[in-house]
Amino acid sequence: MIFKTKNLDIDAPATKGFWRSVFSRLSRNKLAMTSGLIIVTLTLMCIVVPIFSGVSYDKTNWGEIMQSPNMVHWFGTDSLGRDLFVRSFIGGRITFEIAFAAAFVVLLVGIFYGAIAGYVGGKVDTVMMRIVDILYGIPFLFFCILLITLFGNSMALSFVAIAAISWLDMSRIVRGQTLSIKHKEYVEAAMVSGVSNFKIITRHVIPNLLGVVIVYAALTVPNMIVLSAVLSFFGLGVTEPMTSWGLLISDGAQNMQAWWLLLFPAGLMIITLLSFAFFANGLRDALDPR
Amino acid sequence: MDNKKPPLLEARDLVVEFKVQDGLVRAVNGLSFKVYDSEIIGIVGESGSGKSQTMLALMGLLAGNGKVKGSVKFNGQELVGMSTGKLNKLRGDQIAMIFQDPMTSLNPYLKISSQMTEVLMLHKNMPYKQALDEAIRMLDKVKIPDAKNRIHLYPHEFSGGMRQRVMIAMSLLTKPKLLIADEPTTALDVTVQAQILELLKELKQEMNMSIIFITHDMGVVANICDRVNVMYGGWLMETATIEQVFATPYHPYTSALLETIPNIEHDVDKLKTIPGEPPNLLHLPQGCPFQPRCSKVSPACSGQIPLRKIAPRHVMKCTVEVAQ
Amino acid sequence: MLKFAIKRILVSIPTLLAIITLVFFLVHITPGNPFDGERALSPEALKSLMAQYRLDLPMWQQYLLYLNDFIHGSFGISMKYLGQPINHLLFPDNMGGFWVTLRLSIYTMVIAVPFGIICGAYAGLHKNSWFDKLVVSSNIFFTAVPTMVTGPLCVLVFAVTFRLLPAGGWGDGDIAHLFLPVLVLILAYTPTIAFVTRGSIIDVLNSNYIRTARAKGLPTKKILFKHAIRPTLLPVISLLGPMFAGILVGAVVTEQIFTLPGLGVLTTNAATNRDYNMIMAITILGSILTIVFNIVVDLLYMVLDPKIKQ
Repeated sequence: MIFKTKNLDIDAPATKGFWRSVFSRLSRNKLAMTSGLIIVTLTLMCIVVPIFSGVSYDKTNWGEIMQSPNMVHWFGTDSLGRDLFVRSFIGGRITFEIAFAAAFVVLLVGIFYGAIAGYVGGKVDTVMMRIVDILYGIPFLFFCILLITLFGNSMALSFVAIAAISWLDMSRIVRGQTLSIKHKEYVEAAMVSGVSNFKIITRHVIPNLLGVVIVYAALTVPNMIVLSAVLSFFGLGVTEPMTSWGLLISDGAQNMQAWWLLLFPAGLMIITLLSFAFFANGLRDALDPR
Repeated sequence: MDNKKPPLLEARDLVVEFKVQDGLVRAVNGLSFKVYDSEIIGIVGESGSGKSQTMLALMGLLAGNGKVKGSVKFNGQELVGMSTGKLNKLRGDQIAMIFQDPMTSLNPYLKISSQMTEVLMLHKNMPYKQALDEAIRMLDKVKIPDAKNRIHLYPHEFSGGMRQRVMIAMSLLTKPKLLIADEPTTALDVTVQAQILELLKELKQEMNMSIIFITHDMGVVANICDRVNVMYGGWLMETATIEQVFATPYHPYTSALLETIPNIEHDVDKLKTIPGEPPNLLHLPQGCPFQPRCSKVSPACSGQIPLRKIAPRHVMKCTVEVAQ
Repeated sequence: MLKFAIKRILVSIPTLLAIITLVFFLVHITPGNPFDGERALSPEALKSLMAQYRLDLPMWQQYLLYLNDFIHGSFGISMKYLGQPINHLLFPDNMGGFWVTLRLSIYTMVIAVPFGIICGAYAGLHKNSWFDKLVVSSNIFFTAVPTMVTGPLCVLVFAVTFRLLPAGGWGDGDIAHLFLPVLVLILAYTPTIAFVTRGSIIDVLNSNYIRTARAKGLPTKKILFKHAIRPTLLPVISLLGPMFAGILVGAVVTEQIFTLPGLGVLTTNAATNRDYNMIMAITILGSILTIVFNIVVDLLYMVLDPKIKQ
């Protein structure tokens, strides 16, 4: 049999040229690029502000309680006289740390679980996906709270707990993607011509998963930010005097007369979440132009 | 065919344009043709020739970004620019259309009975019972076995060929004067295709209607049509009777199309194709759109090309010399 | 229909059993017992406590007894409020506990679903209008920003700044007290419903069978309400299953913001007091509701899509 090579997509789409064109499409998307810039700036500020401000985030200052925003305290102060500007960014730092770490674990577990299920297939796949189905039946937040109560209310453990049950979507997506890649003509052609499994996975499967994984990672980070913030509302996760955006917002929600206590952390969080949303959208469009 | 009678449908300088991201695409460019009573006229061309868009335009079914210019008269009534309300009185009643893809052209969420009776209830003011009887009779006519019971099924319970029969039956319920058939057999396999063509010919005789038959298949044209319009890149290339087209295909594109019909007598290894790609409507050459693929291209081709009358009822748009 | 429903319910029983088993063993395998942290108990008191909570039995016996209780409709005894059956706390005779959460969720669904569908359909029919753009952008905003941010902001605007409504509390479940919490939930879920409806109706109207309906000369109203309505609603309905679980959790978060006496308070108390039995009960209750709602959605789907009938 003679293949009409021209009509057969022998070349995997994920080549160097592919990534270059993805990047050029992304860089032309102003909204996504601005969002990316905001994310980077906020991340940098979360690192830098607490170090160089020279103001302690946790020292009670009875002389400066509940000041509205002014030249000394740009975001005002809280009920213990602590500077909200510094607290907002130290809270942001913790929030980002939790979110990025949790997102990393989510990706790792999700990719492995999904790729194994998709690549091995058969009974293994059925059983693995049945487990995912069952876990989907559990309301996420309650399960999180259960895990945190069980393993103790420490930050490290809480994000492990969060990550441990957030990988379901990721695994489904990766499995689906792996299955479809496995049946692409160029992969089947590689299999038929005796290319080793290892080489197929590294040359074809992983590069093609990368696009989906990147987009999903950009969506997972904000999800993790929200989840850790919600947990603060239940008094779980980060504890005083350390703080996080969730804790600051829940604190602000209890001191409504001091509007700045709510508005600044809420504003920072909204900006961050929207930036991630726009950036993820831009990434998806760049990776999958219609 | 009685030429003294005014044509049932007459299109003049029809232009269909689409607004797209990269500018304006002209899918149909100054098309004129006539359809007389009880004739089958073929419109032939590759994809992108504008044949389907012409028909959608005169049915008022263009996509939202499409615009029609020129004139189409049906029974003396101007269709271009007609209000949807007025158009709704005509389409489905006097002009009916069947589509290329029978698998997706019937509503999968409604029973056949419901989809068929609504036409009669709307256009003929029939009560449901009577409309149902009529619909069953029509299904019998298009040879759907056990129509009485099967009319209460959903489309997905029919095969592709059967669905196209249902589509045909549905379009003929109101005894339209004009049936537009947009590649009705393309999605079907060859034996079913032949059956559907036979069926259309029979029904045309019986109901005394005109059919516009859109296809890219010259073989199908030879089988069913009285006259044929050949289109390319939005242009009308050649109009002739079926005999003239097969005896004296003057236009290089027409003759190229004819050569693509597989011939049983000559045993060939390879199917003939027209070299080159179908036209990209965003980047058409100056003058004749067929130039890049034409075997008889000349400098004159990039200028104005008039429509020439070569013989009675034989018109062509080409610069090529014609031996009289 | 009935056969399908029964089959669907039977299929979900093993799922529920698996969830209960998972939750039970997670709780009971974790080292330490819930009374470790309490003020020093005399050995006798501890022993009687352990016996009361069956913690002295082998784990498999505890598991079977828990299942037995569950089948008889009981979630066991609270570990914080000693001796109190959890059922009494979850489902109190007067308003409170689950009833508050359920009421919030139902109000939200009843308003958000039709409102979202109507907005989405209108937006889809008037693509690129200002209303369409509003639907698209509010979907982006409200999927990104959760109730725990929008909730306090609503309180700040409506209750604190303009003093229009009470900032929190249940009152006697009157409109004034429920307005803000329900508004926050509706804001959170309507845009998604509208966005999905919008995409769906745009797809449907571009479909070949709608083209056929137009070619038949049917008036627009008939095309929309007879031909387009079912396929437009199908994706919306499959969205509602997971969304209900979301609304339930969203309601719990909203209760925290507005200090409503629902599952939220029970969850917080249980979490801070390490009342395992209570959290287990809430988690399992949530799972049951999720599963039940998915069954309802599947049945609705079946009614609307003739292709799944057999």
